[in-house]
Amino acid sequence: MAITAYLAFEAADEEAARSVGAELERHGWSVTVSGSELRAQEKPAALVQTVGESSVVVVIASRAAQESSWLQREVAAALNNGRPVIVVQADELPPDSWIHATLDTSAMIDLRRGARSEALAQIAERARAANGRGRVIAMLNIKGGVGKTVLAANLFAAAHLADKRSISFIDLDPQHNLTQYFLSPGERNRIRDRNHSIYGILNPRGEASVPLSDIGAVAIPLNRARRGGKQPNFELIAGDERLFEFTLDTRSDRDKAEAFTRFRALITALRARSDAVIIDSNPCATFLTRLAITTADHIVAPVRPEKYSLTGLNMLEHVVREVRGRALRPAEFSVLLNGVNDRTRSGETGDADTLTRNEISGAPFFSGALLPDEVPYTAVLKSAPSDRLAANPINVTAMMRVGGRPAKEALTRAAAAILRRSGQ
Amino acid sequence: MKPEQSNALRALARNRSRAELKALFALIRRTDDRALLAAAAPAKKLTAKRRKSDPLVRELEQTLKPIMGPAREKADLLIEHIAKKHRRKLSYQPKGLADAARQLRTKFSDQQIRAGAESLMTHLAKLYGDRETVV
Repeated sequence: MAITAYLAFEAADEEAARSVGAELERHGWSVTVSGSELRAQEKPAALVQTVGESSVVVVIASRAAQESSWLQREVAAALNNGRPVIVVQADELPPDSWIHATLDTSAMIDLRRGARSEALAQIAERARAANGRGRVIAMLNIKGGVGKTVLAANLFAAAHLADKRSISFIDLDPQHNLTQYFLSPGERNRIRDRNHSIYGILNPRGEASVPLSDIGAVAIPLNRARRGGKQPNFELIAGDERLFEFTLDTRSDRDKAEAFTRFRALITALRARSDAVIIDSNPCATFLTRLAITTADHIVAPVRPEKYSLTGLNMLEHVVREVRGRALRPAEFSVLLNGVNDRTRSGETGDADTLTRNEISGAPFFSGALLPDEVPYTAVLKSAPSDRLAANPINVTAMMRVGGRPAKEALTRAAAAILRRSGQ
Repeated sequence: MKPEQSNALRALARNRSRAELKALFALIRRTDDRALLAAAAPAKKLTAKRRKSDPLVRELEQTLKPIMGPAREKADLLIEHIAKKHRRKLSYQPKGLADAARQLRTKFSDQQIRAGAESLMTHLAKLYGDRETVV
């Protein structure tokens, strides 16, 4: 598949856009430019679709761009679809410009400064880096209790241990069960007291706010084995219960807009150093779910063999389509059947598994998203309270526990399939 | 000669030449019964002596049992903790608790190692030992 860059610009900046486009094409990119064909009032969905499916969006920022409502729509489509945006400055911008407010302009490439060839090479390099870095995978299902958190932890622990993948987790659920899964209450309290949690990152101001420059440094290492030299990272941006503020109506729209920008900065920092950034989301459609959907390259929806899970799956497709503003491709989703062969249920367990599997594989949209690997019901994936201590948090995962070999193999296979589908 | 005696001799002579048999009869004539019986007894099975496990290792295993993770990590934690406690530089990389005990014994007494394991547990319980509570 050709790697596509979308070039958003105004007619006044055509000369600059042409040289940026030529430079990208010279580096093997297929460039789609904004123009009257896509910017037609009667087909805004086509514009969102094209922007959403491109690998990188390059915005030529100028006074003309500042005035353009079409360019605003293109940027919105890029942000809602989690596309990396490279801002190229071709002209002076007013300090109160919406471009400064919406995009991270601290790393803007200035075409007017220095040799143009250097600036162009920098754009091509930035586009290459943006496309080649880690993938963002969101664990989502509008239905709760399907195994989003436990599967997130165990699938990607398997990818880390078996395939040496570097993984960053973000606990974006106010219930912060992923943080609980890995860390003891004492450790969580210490992290909360330092505000080194996702709450501190989303908070734009006040005592709890983490400065933007420190965003990448708040990750908690989860594999603390003392040996083996430099290991690929396995880390967590911890959650805390104060995230509820962002799901209730207690935060202003301005706070939410700034939280969105800060969250994207966090994602950029984590993508640069990890093969995959895993977002564990809350089971409903809130501002936090929106953050997860708009930044994710791929969505994993765990499903249990029960009828309510399927309702959650349908709602998920609807919510994602609503947020992204375009028709979705099954390749953007993975549906993982969780808890099959549950012998603790009554005799019809096999039927429930088959019925759920058949229902999904016969569906027009989700059939292409159903993973062939399924996670069996197993004791090693249970999170029962225990008196044991985990000085090294990765030791709580199924891969480090005794027994459950079929489950461990299924987790490793499913994680590899998800990473492959996400483009990693 | 009785028939069973001739049978025994026939079994001895099977697949042996006349010269080999004569050499064997000569050897029997000049060797005493004790040596002959010892040589003819079936070979004893060489069973490996079951090694008695080290009581210190058993104790360490029990003390460090609440820590989740492989024995190698527990051994690393123990060595790191004892090194810190006694302000010594220890560059051991043990394979497990038995190996750790063997290496630690070169510099510390069993009592010191035991105390080190217990104080490691106290230290870890302070850091990671609290439980989920409700208000």
